[in-house]
Amino acid sequence: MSDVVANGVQFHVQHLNPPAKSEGAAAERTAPPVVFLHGLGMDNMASFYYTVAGAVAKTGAECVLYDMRGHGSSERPRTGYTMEDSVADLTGILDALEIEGPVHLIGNSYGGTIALDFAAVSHGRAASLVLIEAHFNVDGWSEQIAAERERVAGVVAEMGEENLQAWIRRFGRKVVKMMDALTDLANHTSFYPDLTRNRPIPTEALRALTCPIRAVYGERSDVPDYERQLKDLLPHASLTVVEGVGHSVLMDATPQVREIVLEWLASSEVSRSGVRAAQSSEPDRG
Amino acid sequence: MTTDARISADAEVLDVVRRLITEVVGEEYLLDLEIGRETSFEDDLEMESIEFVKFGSRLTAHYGGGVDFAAFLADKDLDEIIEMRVGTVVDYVIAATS
Repeated sequence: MSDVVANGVQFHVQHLNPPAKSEGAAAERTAPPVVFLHGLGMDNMASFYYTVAGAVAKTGAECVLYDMRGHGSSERPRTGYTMEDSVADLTGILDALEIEGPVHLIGNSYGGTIALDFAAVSHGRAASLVLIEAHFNVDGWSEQIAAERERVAGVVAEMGEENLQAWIRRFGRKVVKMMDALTDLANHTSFYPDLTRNRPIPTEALRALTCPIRAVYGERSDVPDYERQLKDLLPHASLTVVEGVGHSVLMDATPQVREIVLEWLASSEVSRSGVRAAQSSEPDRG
Repeated sequence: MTTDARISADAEVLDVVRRLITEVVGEEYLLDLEIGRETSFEDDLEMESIEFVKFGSRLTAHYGGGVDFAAFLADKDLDEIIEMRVGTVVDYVIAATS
């Protein structure tokens, strides 16, 4: 399956090792699926598909990758880019794939932010989290996005929109296509306004998370204050800092990140948590 | 496999690969390009990473689960994926389906 409609938006989805199911019957799962959430802007599911997801799928695990709305090969609607929308999109895609029980979430950058928010509001649907260079949707985060928007706008203004377009068009089809998509997303949708008015997740909701959490950051991470945030909000999370890399740890230290994710999913703490989450989420679903 | 059978399997898979690339990238872009074993996905076809993912899932859909594109890529590092040529995929499909 590669296209799923959720929340009225068409999503490009790759569903690896989907469970067998007989006509009319619900699929039977022996373990929670692993869901990969990519970052914002230039990113799409390919960054996980090429690095970690294939190795996880090779262990036989059911994997779900999708391009977020406005990204990759998913539809780019004019609105719907708040965190609430992103969490609703994730929920909608899981529903469309008939995944009702808990899932392991692996999120990179903003994908990690979505994973945290989803875990905080979904009442037990997160079996475990791997947060790679995740930002925290707490006070101050919207201001960071607004500042980044200002910085990019400043660069574009300095260069002049026409010069920028001429410069982009000197490159091949791939860069032109990517930049056109990004320009449309940034300038002609509610992407930035929506992100900059994100409602912070209550810090108590993050502190109340009990599922196992693994955090991976680059030594030169540009996520402000992540160590303090982890200690304060997710004290039970275990942290690995990868030497010699920055925010793009997934691409720049792929073998290490892949190893961490594989070990994590195979660990008894995480597989036990999957079983526990499945049991506790059953009564909710009648 | 005899040499003749091998050549015919090669041509057949190459045809399918050509058709799936055209579906993903779009005919208008490929007008002046003859896709062969030596064609590079990155340099010649300028395929976006996400287009390569879609191409792979179409390949799996066409040949069935034996051609597992995600598993095929899982054994490769990023540089190998970026430098990949059409012939590598053709060889993989032939190996996976024979």
